[in-house]
Amino acid sequence: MSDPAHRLLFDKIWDAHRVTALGGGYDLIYIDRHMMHELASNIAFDRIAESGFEVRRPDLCFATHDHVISTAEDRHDDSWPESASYIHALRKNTRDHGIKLFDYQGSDQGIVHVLAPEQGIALPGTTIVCGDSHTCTLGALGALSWGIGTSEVAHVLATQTLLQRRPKVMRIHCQGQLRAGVSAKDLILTLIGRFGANAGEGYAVEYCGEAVRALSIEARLTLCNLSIEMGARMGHVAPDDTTYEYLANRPHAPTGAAWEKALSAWRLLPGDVEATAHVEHQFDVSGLNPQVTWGTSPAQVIDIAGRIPNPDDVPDTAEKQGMRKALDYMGLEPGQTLSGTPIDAVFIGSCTNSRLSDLQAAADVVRGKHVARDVKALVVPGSTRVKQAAESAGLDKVFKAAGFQWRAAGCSMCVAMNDDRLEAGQRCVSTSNRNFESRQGKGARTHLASPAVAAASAIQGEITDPTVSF
Amino acid sequence: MSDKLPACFTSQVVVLAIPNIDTDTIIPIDYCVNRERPHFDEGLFRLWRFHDDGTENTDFALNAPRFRNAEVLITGENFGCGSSREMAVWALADFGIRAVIAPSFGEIFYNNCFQNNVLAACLTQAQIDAIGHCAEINDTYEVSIDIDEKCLRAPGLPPYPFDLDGLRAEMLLKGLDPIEATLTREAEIAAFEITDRAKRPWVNPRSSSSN
Repeated sequence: MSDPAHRLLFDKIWDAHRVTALGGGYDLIYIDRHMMHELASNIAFDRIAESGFEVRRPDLCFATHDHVISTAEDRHDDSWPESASYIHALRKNTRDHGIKLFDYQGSDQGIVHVLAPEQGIALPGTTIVCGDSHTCTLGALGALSWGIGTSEVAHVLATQTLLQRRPKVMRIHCQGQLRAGVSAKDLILTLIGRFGANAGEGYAVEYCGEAVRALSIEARLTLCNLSIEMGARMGHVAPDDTTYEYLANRPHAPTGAAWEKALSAWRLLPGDVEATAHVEHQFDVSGLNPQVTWGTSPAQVIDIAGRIPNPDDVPDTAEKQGMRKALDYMGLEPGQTLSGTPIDAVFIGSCTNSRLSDLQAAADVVRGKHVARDVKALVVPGSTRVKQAAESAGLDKVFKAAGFQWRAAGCSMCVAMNDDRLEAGQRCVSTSNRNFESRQGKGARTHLASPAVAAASAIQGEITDPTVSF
Repeated sequence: MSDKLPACFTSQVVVLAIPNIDTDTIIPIDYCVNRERPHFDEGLFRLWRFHDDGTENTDFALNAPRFRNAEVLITGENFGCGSSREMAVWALADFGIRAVIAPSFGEIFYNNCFQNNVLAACLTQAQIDAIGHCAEINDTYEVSIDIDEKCLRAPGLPPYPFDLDGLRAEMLLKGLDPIEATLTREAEIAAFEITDRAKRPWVNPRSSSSN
């Protein structure tokens, strides 16, 4: 149990949601928000129906179509045959239980982790879960937010609680200032490369420091999104005036007297000055450069101008073998620079980088230019609201004029569970969060990067640093 | 839900000495959809177990006839990292795996194991290498997993203890349904809701006027 006088943000939220302590570090934790999508929910709903359980708090559940739906602008239920049953099941299950569904046919649908912030559903001090590993994204709003599997989805539906072991806390203090052209995506990729793909296992990570304070909410969402790629189920940023300005007047956020009460409560959430985490890292962001992954883990990442490391230089046998395997799969050589590597595709989208500021950053790079020949380039806005805002700003015209496909909102080529996928051997710069083998299509080769790098790479037809070449 | 585990069981081991095996590798997304248990094994390590033409890759450990009945998988660090798909556990369980041993696990995968009466337990890399070496030179090598004692016993090696929370051990051995277990605390949940509503009246989401 935390020292009541010196508590971190994590402690304050966890302690406030403990229904009961179960011993051995396990608590029954109340869940304030249950986000749902079509891929991880139907089996859970079937489970509770078969067992005769009721949904305890349908008012705390919000659902969306995102993972398996088509992103064609003229999409319909049968656009992609394998998706139809999932689309229908979510409609039926949400209707039967009185749960709000952001149907893709409506005007508010989006990728679940884009939708929850923009709708004011994710709030500071709340506990939020979803059957998706990137639920850590929502920690950017000062929430405790994490991913769960289908069985735990059923557990939350029936009980509005989860049995959880209290994690330890790791704080990463980011000092200095990101220079122009270097983004939150580059920061989190650097941290994963520095600390490793399982550094966060057993920890909730708090990102703090002046460099984090300087980030917009959308940038904080990107930062927290890849926490799971560092092994941490939860990643969060303490709420501040940036957070409150973002949330004010959003559709599901409190208003009036309730808003004032909430604000007073939220201002007490940031960690006490004297509180210390189990692990404290200090990190200066000033010298950071754009990052690109070279391998098949987000931790296998280098400066865009850097050289791919040599497995021979690594003493650990398992790591050495892992690097060799990754290089072989990616068709790259030790010592090679990524900058200048020819590519076949670019994907700008996913819950990591598909919000308006991401599209603006990409549009600024491509305006007046054209996608290189033989490069397939997609822009997939994170939600219908983002799409409409982008269209109001004329960004769709910029992208289409430059030869990009402009799609409707969905997870698209990140999960590649629909027609947005790559052929074997195709090399893609992607603003998503996973470069695992065959993630974007069997044999596909993924390089994770920021929207600006992805955009510049599409124009040049090769991995390109926009801060150097443009 | 898979059957509850016996307090102690003995089985052949199959070794996959590769670190960072992610859940996309354990079961590609195409094999996660439009199927039911116990048929998720078709997707297990799909891209490693099968060639492009659909024939079995006989070089892959899990395809060897002597491992077809192995119930214990021994593997590398950070096993099950990545996506939260619980189908990764179902694929292993439908194949017949009852226990996965690794130096570390992806946390969501680890939690998902226990939802399905699959034991996930950590041993050190050195211990895992020792078991792997014995298994390599002996085609019929078997280990015993003792959940009561929280210990793995392998012939020719000292007993290897592993951590297992009492709560998890109890659920594995009794095959308890986590939802039914939690619902016995309904009164406490209701009491929490009442006091929390008074403390944080703003936390109930405002209904949006638009739909």
